[in-house]
Amino acid sequence: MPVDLILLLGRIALLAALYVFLVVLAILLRRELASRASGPSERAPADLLIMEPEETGYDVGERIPLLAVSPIGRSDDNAVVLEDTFISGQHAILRWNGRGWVLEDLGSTNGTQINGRRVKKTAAVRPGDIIQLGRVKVKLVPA
Amino acid sequence: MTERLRLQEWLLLVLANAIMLGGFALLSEVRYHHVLLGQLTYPIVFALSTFLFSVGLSVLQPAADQFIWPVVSLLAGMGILVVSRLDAGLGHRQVVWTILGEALALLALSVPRDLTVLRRYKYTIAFAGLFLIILTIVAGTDINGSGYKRWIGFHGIYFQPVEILKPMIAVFFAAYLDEKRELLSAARLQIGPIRLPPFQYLAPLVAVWGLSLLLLVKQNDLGSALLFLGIFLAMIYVGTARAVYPIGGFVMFVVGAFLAFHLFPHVRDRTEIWLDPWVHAAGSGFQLIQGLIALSTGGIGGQGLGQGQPYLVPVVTTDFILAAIGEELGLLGVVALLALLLFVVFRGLAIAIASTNNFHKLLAAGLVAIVGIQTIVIVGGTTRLMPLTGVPLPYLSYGGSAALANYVIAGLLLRISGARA
Repeated sequence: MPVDLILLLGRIALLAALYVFLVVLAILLRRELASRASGPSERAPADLLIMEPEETGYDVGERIPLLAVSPIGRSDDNAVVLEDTFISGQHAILRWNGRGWVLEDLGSTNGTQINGRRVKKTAAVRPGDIIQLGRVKVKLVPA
Repeated sequence: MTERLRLQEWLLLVLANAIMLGGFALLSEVRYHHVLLGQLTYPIVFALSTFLFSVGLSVLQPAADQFIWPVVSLLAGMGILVVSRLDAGLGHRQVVWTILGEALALLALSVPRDLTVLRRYKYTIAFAGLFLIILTIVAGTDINGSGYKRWIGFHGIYFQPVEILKPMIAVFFAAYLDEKRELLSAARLQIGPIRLPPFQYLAPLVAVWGLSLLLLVKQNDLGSALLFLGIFLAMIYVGTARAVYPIGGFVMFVVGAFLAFHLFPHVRDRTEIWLDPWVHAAGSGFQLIQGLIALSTGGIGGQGLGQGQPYLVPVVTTDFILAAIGEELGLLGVVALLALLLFVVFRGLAIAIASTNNFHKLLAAGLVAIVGIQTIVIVGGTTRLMPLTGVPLPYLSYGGSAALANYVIAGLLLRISGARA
């Protein structure tokens, strides 16, 4: 092969290789994001500690394990079922995003409060925070 | 055992080193029309060292981020490649400095055992930094005839204290802000419409401002002065989430720049060169113009490694390395490398967000600010987007002290990413 051709191909190959690296990096990053997002039914690293159970039948101090996505409400299809008359069927959802917890109120009748502050739509929850659903009080604690 | 396998890192490292070694093979082909093994000795040693570091990571911080190390290694590898193309001897020295940097980063992964103990030594670190700068001003050496003593020599080895100062400053700010963040967030001192924290807590701000001024006046080092101010404002914003600090800092900067323009002739010169370099084409504007010509000669695809004339640009191995990259690898090469630097910054910020420890969070944000601000300042300066101020392009420019500092930054970021809450 003539030298000029080798040099031309080498030039192109060097630049192409840099972009191949960037593409591989992007693919690996995408995979990482996908693996982090998957598994809503995976165990998340926190529990709900019952503080004021009201009619739910739980005892004070009992722990309810949480999943990465944990719908809370009175009906049976919730991950956390709290059967109290002041709690809506689909009351709220607690989500673990791999770093922290976010609570979303699903338009419940009697509302949700974190440390006494009303949740309008969504709010961050930290371990140690007290969540009040209707009149039931629970505490987010590390698993 | 399997969790200690860092497969993604290895895959990316193989790619990164293949690119770097391919570049050296191409360089040898251009020069000798053969791939000479002798030309590859130093790059191969460097490639091996990056894998060795990865093994070290598996042992010391198995949970650490797997993307930062290969990206940093590729950037450093490309830097070594371009520097070697400009000056083979300098390239060899850069390999030695880089490996020393890796050793230092390895040390930073495990010492001290608990990173947060650094908080206790924040004033020690701050005063050590100040001492270094004063020592340089008093007993330093002026090795490149710039008229300013910026190096400290020790038995023939010279180093630039201002580079080492960069990570030290980030550690100090992180410790200070971690301790005082609530006090700084709560504004009590009211001056007209502006609410400020109690004066005594602003003392470090004044101290940094003073340090920047000292660097500016005594060292003519506008780049570092700007950088320290930038790091501080970025970190105080991360720490307090109050926009008054960056905005106030920016206003202070504009006032300072206006004063500097009128007080210091060299600041005025730089501004004039920036606005119209062609007036001083043969004198003070020469470097900037040569850099622009190099970039335009490179065009989109570049002249090809070893086939341009980037050595015509003054200081091309350090501050103006971007001009050499642009001339020989073109816009495509420049964009790819800037994308890698941007990746380090974003990944670092992600590490800061994911960290559960406040000190770690602030430190990661500060370290990333060092890399990001330097990149903006020197790329903006080289391309005439803003007045030129000399700082190295992180991981790519030649420079021993800079390599050590940048690798300590990488080591600390990896360590923070691997720390279990």
